[in-house]
Amino acid sequence: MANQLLYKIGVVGPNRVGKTSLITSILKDTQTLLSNTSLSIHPEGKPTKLRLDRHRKELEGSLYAKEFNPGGLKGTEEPFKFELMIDPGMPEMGIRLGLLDYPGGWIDDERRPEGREKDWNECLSWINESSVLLVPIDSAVLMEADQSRYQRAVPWILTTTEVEDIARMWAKERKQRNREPALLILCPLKCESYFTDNGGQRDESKELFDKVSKAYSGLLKSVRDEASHCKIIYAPVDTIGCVEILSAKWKEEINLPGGFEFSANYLVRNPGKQNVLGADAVLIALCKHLVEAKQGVAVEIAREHQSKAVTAKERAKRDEGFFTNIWLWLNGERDLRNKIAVMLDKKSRDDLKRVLDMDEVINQLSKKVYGSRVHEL
Amino acid sequence: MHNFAVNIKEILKKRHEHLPKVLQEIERWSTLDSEISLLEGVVQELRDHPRTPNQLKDGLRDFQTNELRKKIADALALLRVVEARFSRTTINIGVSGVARVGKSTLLQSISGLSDEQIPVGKGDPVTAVRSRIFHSKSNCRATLLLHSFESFRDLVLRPYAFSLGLNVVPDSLGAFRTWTYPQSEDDLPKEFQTHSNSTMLVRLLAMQKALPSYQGDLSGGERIVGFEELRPFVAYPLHEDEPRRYLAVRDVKIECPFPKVQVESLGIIDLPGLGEIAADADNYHLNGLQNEVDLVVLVKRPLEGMAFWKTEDGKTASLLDKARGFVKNRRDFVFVLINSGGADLELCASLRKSIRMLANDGEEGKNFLVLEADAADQVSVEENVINPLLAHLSMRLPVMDQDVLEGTKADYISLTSMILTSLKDIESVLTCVSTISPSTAEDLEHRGEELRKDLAASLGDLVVKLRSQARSSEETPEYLSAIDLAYEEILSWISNGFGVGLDAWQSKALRSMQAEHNSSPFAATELNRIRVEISNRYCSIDNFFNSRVNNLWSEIAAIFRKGIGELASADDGKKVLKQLRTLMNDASEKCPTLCAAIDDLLALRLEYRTHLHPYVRRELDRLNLQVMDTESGEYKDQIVVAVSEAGAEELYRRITALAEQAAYYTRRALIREAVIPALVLHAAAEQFDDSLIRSGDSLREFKRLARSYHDDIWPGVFNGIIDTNARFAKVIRAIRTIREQLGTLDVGEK
Repeated sequence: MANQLLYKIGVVGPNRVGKTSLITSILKDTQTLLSNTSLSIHPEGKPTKLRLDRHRKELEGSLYAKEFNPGGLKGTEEPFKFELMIDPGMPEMGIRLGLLDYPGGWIDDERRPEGREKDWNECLSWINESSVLLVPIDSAVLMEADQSRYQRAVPWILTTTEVEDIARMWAKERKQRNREPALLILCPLKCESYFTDNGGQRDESKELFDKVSKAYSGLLKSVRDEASHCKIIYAPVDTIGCVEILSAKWKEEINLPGGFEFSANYLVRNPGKQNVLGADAVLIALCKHLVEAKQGVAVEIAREHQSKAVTAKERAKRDEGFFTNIWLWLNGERDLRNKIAVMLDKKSRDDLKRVLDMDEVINQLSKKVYGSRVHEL
Repeated sequence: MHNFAVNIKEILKKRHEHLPKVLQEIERWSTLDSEISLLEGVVQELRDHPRTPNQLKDGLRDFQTNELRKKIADALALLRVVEARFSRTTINIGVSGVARVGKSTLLQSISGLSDEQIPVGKGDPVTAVRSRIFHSKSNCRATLLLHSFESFRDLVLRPYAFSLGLNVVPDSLGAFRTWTYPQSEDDLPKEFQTHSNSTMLVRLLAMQKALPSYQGDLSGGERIVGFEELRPFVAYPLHEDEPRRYLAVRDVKIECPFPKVQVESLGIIDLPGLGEIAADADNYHLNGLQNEVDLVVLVKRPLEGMAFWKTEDGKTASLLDKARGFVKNRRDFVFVLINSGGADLELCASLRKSIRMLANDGEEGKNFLVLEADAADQVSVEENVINPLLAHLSMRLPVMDQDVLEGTKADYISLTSMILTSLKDIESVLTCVSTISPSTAEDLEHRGEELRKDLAASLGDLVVKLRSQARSSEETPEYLSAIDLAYEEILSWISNGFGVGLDAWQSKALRSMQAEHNSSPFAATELNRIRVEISNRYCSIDNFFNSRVNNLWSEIAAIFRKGIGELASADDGKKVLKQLRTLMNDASEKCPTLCAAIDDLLALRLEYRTHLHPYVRRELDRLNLQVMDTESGEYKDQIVVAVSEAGAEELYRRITALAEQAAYYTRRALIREAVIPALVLHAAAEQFDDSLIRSGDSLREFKRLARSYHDDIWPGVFNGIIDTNARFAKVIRAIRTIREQLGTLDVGEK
């Protein structure tokens, strides 16, 4: 595992927004993206595999029955670390994507169960160590709030204030680590009803963008204020693809903070097969992010060699989180080159080629242009 | 048949088309006469009232309507002549000329009648009564129009008495019987002692003496008599002592088939009396000409001593000029006929020459066209008289009709101008003299201004309130409820099998699919039906819109009520506004701008179909069977199911989902456009505020309103102070009514 890069990704969003679905979608769309390359992506470790399998089966069953109810998919009850491996096919090499899922309700201090502070703090640490923050957003809540009383409930349902607080915390940390690149991805989910590029008949994409920009304006401002170097991407994702809203209900619930509970009924478009769209933008953004980071580290190393002034202690202080990962990646590559230089056998040369191929695939992906849905903010 | 026969038929038809307009003018001028009489009354009331300022009294002193009313009577007389002309069903040719020229002979030749019906004599004049003879293929009869004693007195006795200088006439038959008339010329007033009056006195005494012979006929009305008994009623007696039944006859109408005439609608009017020594004979002649004939034939006979254009002929021509009226060309209206039957050729030539030189100024046909025929010869009359005359009429009658119409119109246009001048004279007097004391007038003006300002302030507040509603992000709960209600009803209709019932719907679907081997026809039809139904059901939100519009009207009505008190007291907003509109329109000083503002406000409509449907219609496109594939750009059926029971169930499920989705998205679109009703109401109120308060005439019309309804708006404040104003207003109203009647309404502010 020494040369495996752990690429920590923070996720922050409310309960049932669709975090698991997003991760499943990223896996699915990325598999498509990596087809015809020497790389593959797969769940790393049994827990992740089981979790994703369960989710996929639930979804497939639902679509098969031509019924889709996002509330029917099981929500996350305990923190869970998803690990996806971008694998060059060589042991101990590759990039591990780590995404921490946790009960969405935890981000709301009032709704977090007692005795889980320690767990939550670990979640926050993970987020702080992540140079990428993924913010899944429930598009339907934003778009179907057609009355002002419902619109007033939107921030409560999407927990925009809490998400903003966490994003600000994350951005402050990015400011501290300002030599590292930072990436914020706003990821509207359940977008199938608002785009026409995946079977839908109504293009309300501009309205969705406007509503997201408005609802998350506080978050965007905080991040820009705290970490001006942070890149921000707007990447709407169809996690299902073959569904669209049939009707929506806003049930009055005086016990809920916003006063309303939102639910939507979906109809399943024929032929009822999942058709994820837009999740590839997340991987492309990650690749761009990695390449940018790698270039930054390479420059740094060159400067060290020239000055010889970096002490082990300073390096230790610097080598945390994402930066460490990139450092390891570069070191691993260099180590491998050194080993191969003395061994000169075929297997070693093949291994080197794989590593270089991975590097090349990531470079290529980073150069890909985002689809028309994506906006760089 | 000659072409002119066809033309004349057409001409008569066209004449009738003018008639309604002529009758309308007669009605209009009759009404004007009454209105001018009314104006005279109200002017007199104002002038004679003790409180009327002296200056005003003096100004109105000269106002007289006698002259105007006489001219209106003249105009009406002219119009009645036109009415008579255009009402006729025949073309009438008048036959005129002094006695003994062969008029009756000519009439006999044309009509085929004999001496018994149209008497002809060789000595004294024999035709005593004017005859109108009409060509009729089916009738052979004579209809007498008889005098009553009153008409006999007025039309016969009175002219004689007038000519003889006798001022009084007997008022009854009995009185006439025993009336003491002068017995000789010497008994007449000195200035009336002339030779012709002596002859007339002899005739008058003869009438009195012969009274027993005709008094039984003075019954008035009509009587039909046979041709064999007609003569005593139309001919002078041969001897003094014979009965004089002709005296009881005003007129005789004879219908018989003309032997040589091809024109069906033809009448010949015998015009006796010309040049006769009888009271008012010439006027009688003229009346007959004006009302009855389209053309006159003046008969001349070249007898010894008569074979030249005599002074009397010149006088007759002048009389015929009068009868011609508005017909511009004398040649169109009068023909001279030389009755050459049995006449000496030299005398004929002499008469021709005399007519050319004296009547036609030396140029053949310059003033009169001349015909020549033997009046006793039917063929000669047909060829040389009737046919040329009918040919002329077929060409020139439309021109003469047009002359008459234009002449009559010019006459009453000039009268219209005269009336308008009189009205302006009164108005200028009224304008110069204020009937209200300066302080009262100022107070009233001030109150008018304040009323406007009060309304402006309240309307301004209302507009601000509506603007804030239009700009609010908060939807109106009633609007949301109206939409929700419609939405729930639509969902219920969908879930109950689209108004048919689930089982019935599926069964119908299956049958249709089996018949067509295809699910699309049924699906397309049903989707269309559902689309229309959903749209119709959302129309129920019009109830909400109506209530909003009514609310606006009520709020504005309440603002008016605050300002004008009980003037408009109806129980709902719309009625109040309508009442106000009527009041402003009926005011003594009208307020057209304020009226128009209220009209516009009352025309306000807020409707789903007009205002919202265009914005939400596309949501119902989901219910089209064919949709465009966004990837390929091609159209495809969005639902296709198997032709089976399971397919029918699937179809039901799919269409239900689409219907629910369309209903949901239409609802969503309606809510998104929730601001439209508020925008419409705000715009309407703002426009009303602008039109009512800020239009150019607003202030002036508020002052008018104040002057017109001061006692209603401010009861008790002006009691007794401006009662003169009421009389003043009556005169203004009478003037306005006349102006409107004249169709030249000019109600500029004075």
